[in-house]
Amino acid sequence: MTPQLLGQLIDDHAAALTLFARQWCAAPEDVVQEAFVKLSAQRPLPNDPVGWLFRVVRNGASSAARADRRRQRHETGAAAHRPAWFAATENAAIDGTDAAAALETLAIEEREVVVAHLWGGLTFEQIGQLAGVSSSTAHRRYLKALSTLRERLRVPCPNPSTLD
Amino acid sequence: MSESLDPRLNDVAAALSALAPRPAALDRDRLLFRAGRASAPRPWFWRLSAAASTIAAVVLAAILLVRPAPTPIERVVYVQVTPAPIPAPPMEVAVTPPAPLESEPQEPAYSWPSTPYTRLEDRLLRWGLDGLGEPSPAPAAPPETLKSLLQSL
Repeated sequence: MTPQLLGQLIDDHAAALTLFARQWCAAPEDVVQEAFVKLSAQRPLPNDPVGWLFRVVRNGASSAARADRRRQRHETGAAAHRPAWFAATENAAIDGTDAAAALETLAIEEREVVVAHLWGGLTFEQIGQLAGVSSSTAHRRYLKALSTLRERLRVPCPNPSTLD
Repeated sequence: MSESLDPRLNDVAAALSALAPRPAALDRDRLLFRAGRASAPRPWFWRLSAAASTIAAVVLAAILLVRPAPTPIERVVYVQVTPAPIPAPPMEVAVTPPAPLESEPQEPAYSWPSTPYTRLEDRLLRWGLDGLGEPSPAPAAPPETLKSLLQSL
């Protein structure tokens, strides 16, 4: 893997991967960094580096989550402060904090589909491989998650003509 | 598949995707450095040779510690002795005895007996009666008498 390609992957996907890892663990940057290091040591390079990265981040974040849970038994106060999931965005229809709070109410199976599709740019087929389910199951989870989020966020409709 | 979404769900998806994830707090240069190190070929040859040397050293040390004491080896060695060279006859050199120091006690110098009497005396003092030797056999002739002596005159 060339440094240019690795740098491009970091620039394009590090933020989404971090958000994806944040669904499980409290230190997503470490997990993402390890995933990139592992990717650079791969011989040969995976056919789908982005899908591979999401899979490695998912596994690493799950492992880190288990370690987090063990640690939180002793450090209950440390987990109280959680960093923001989204950057401050002007003219956004939804507040980032509200979106993060709504996302947190979803089941992890639905949340990972939403994050991987909306911010990671993965197809439902890739998400299905990632989560170990079929692409139709991944799509079904996505629709259910969006319905839940719509109810909780009360998203204003930007285009009234799209309403029934 | 997203084309078949309910338009209201599409709006939710659009509103959510308008939010940008918080930038990852990654040190890009450090990450690239670590990735470069991880992608470098592993020095297996040196690792294996170092491991083999260590194992060999441990095994040899163990052998050295637990081996039994060496048994003595007996060997018969035949040595051919060459006759010693005959020393040349000593040159007669007039050796003058060093002058005795006046401080040292003087022993009486041995004087070789010059007369038959003194030789006999010396032999008797050295070896006792054995110094006299075997007695000479008795003469076969009858002892001389006064008469025979007178006749010989």
